[in-house]
Amino acid sequence: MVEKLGGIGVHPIGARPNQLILAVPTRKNPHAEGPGATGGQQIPNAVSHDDAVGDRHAQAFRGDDEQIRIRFGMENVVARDQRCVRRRVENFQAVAGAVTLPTGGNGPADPGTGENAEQLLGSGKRSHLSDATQVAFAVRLLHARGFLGTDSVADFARQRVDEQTTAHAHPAMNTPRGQANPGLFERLLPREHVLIDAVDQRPIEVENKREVGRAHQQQVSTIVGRSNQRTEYAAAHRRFVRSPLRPCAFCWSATYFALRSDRRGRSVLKIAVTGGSGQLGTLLLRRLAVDREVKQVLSIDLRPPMVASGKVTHAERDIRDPDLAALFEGYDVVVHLAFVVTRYLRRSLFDDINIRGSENVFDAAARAGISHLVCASSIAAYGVVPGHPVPIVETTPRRYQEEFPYAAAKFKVEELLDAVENNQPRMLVTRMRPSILVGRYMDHPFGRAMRRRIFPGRNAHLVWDQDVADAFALAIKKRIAGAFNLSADPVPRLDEAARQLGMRVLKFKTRLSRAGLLAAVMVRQGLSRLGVGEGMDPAWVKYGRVPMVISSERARTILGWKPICTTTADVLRRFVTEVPRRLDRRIRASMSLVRWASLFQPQVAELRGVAARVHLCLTGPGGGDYSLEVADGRLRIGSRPPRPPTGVMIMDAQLWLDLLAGRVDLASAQFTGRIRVEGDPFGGFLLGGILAQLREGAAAPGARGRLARAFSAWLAAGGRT
Amino acid sequence: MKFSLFFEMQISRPTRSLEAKTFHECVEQAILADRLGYHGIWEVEHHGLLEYSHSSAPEIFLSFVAARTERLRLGHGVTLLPFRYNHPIRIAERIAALDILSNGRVDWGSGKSSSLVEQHAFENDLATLHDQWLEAVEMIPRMWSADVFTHRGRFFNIPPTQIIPKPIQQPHPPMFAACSKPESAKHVGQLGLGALNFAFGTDDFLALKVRDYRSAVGGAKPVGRSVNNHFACTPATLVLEDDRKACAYGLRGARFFLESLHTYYLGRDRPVGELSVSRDFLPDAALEEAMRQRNAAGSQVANIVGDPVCARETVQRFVDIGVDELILVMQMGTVPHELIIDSIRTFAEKVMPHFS
Repeated sequence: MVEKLGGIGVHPIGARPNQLILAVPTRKNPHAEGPGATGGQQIPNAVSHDDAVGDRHAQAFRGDDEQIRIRFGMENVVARDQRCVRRRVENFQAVAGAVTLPTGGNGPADPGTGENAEQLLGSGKRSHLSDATQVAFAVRLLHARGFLGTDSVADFARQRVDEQTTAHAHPAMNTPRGQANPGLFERLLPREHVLIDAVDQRPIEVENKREVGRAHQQQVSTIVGRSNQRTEYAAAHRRFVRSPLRPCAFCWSATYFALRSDRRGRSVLKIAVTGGSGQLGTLLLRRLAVDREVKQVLSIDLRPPMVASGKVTHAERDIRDPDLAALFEGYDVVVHLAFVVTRYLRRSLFDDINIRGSENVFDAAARAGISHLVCASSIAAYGVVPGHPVPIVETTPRRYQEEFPYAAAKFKVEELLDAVENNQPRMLVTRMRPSILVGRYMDHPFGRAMRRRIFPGRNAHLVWDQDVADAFALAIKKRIAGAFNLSADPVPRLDEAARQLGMRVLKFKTRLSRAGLLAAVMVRQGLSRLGVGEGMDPAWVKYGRVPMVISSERARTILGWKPICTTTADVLRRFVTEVPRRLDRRIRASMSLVRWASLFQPQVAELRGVAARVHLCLTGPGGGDYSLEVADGRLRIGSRPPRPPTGVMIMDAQLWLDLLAGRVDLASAQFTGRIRVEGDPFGGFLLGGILAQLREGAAAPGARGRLARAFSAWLAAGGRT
Repeated sequence: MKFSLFFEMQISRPTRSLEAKTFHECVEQAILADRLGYHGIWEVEHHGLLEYSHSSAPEIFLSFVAARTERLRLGHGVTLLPFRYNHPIRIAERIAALDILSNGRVDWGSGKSSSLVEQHAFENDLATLHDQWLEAVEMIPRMWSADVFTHRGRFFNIPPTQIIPKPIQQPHPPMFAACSKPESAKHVGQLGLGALNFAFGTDDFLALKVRDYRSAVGGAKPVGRSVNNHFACTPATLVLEDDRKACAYGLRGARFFLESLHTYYLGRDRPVGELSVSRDFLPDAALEEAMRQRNAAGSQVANIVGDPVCARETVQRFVDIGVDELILVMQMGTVPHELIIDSIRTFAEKVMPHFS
């Protein structure tokens, strides 16, 4: 049994058949712990049902020893019910795990609720509320009396809602619609007004069970019922109300919403990200920008970010800058992604940026009092050498690999993290060890080869970059420390899968071919040493061949990581379907036309005084990137994404073709979320303008019109392939 | 949070009788809004934009509504200030007269027009539109406060004249300006004017815009005699008990609104006749997807369509962003009058009380 619930001693005092009594002490109780425990709100004596065997209700009443007792009744002590009891105890454990006792003797948060609930519970009448309703009542009573903090109860209730909406317990959520939208419950229920049994709205004299049940159902069906979903949810709920053991999701939702109203609009997290302009950084910034609990994101990088959001600011700094601590002041989380990965640099410079730079970041974070440090390490930190156990887990000893600069640097960074963990006990330290990130914006030779659909047949250590960004976001939101491998599970014949996806596989089987590849890379490296261009570090070629089997189980279980691409074959498949290889020629032609036309346009009156840099990001086959820049009253089309953009429009390339052809209109594409808008929506006006002018060109008279119509017909023939 | 209604007088496929009927229906909607406790109504001024807006004489409509209402605020969203549309003296006189007759209920918004159709119809000099607006918006408050008004500027050379009558509200009716382009909210704030914002984006973007506006207003050099720190948005709205019906009609209306706006505002041509925009309902799959996307993370905060529960959630987003007033565009083309009335009622009963 439970002995301590978060600092408050809980004693099982009940030893009645079918009843479990937990006692939560009040202030006057000398056994109460915790500084400034100011409970003390007494619940008046309620009639207890000693003979209430078989009557299921939760009562909170004041016992003789100044303790508040919560008693759960049960019908029969059978194995099923015992699980139920255990669950309720766990419920309370979970709640009390974050119990905060109010200081200063605040009054009850919601006296109305407390009174009415007490009236019911203390009325001495039989009530037939469902189990979860009872627990919900008890919890809310405790909250109203100030024994449980708002945050803890809201979190707890939220978890219950999540649990119940994803668990099998709720058949309605197993429908395709339900599964597609786990947030459905949340959206259906009112935020600020409590859906609960009629009790909370008015005191109710419970004469018979039907009255309560009916009132509850009525509330549910008016609030939950929608034209298509009314029958499903109402029916599901009716089943629950009747069912003896199933918890009622709606009541927890009610509790959640009643309390969440306190937290409305309060965004909490301020996050600083080094390397926010890189491949992983861009994805993470994008993800954090749409999260309502994130207040601000600071990106620290040498170049501006590719993300447009009111929450994202940019500081152009080197990570070796001694003033980073001043930048981090006031932030909650520092995410360290900045690292030189494939680019060849002199070893001393490479180590200076990567190792000393990381050390600088960690020092600055410690000085600024950051509470959570998340660092991107790598599987290379284990050492890309043979002889590792199969699979490699987070506790596998890491080996220093001097000759591979990247792996050596990651090893050293992990050592620095160990030191941080030792010296800063109050700082949460999370280290992520992903394998090679595969995605749209891979800025290295391997990525460029992949974009040309060439697969160098060896690398099996892949992971989809969006999945890694999701894992980072999970760790940040849930504030979880520790090390996590992030890798897609290997498949036996990845080169076969690649070939099936239409990629060309280069195996470099013979020693001659391997030597040739190495030579080519070293030539580029040599050139870069002479200052000509950028080369890749040859160590990637020399040491990339070692097979390592990585287990990401820890991330799955502890972080709750649910990668979109679970195996490396999935990664390749997604890459081929999502990352464009070559821009569709119709799109290229239409944008060239617009570019050409805008060169000859005089200043457009509507664009005067407007400064905009819009990134048009077309995804999927035939996609690409465009920049639409407005300056001096003119529109200029470029082919590289602007950094930083004022707005981003993300859509499928096929959708752009449909828009050009007039098959879809811009408005419904925006309503249905097929066009994602970031930052300034002015880009929507620019695109609308381009579409409008193409349409008008087609309606023009004479030769110009005929030409335009022919062009439009050709554009319309595109897409849908 | 204040809630008002927006009247564009949009009519899909107008005929003469339908047009007349729409005018009367809009009056009926405004009177209902007054009864139900809405904060005010806002009427636009557009010329020659068939189907998109038939409201070319807002002062007439507002006077008509003023006579039949008690507490509703009467807002010009906006009057066009470039002198070929309206001479500034005429605007000052009309606003003051309406203010007197309505007992001080006028909100005055100004703009310079964005569509080539109306700009060319009145033979405006496109290059100086903004400057004309700026000069007029500085002149008009002086006309209300000065006993004898005189002005010598780039576009006007007015000898000493007594501009009468004077408005009732002191120092003058609250002043607003239209903002649709990036950065325009900041400029408007610097002039101490309220912002009538017609484009949104995502929550964080709008929040940034509001923050920029507030800081601009904080250091404002007002063109009027008072600073009006007020940020208003105009979401397309339709709130009914039936979620799906509200979304079907509401999104169809919003789409009509957006498409006709794009046609008139973004094209180079001056279209004639019925617009070639879609007037059908969204197909089922698209409708369901749109319903799911309404308050999804990262979605734009633009439409308040659906049942009261969902509407409350969207309004809450605007509240969290820090908007002062929501000017609800319920009167959209293709939305039947009965549904608009229903929506006005439902919104007043089920949504407004939660935000008072």
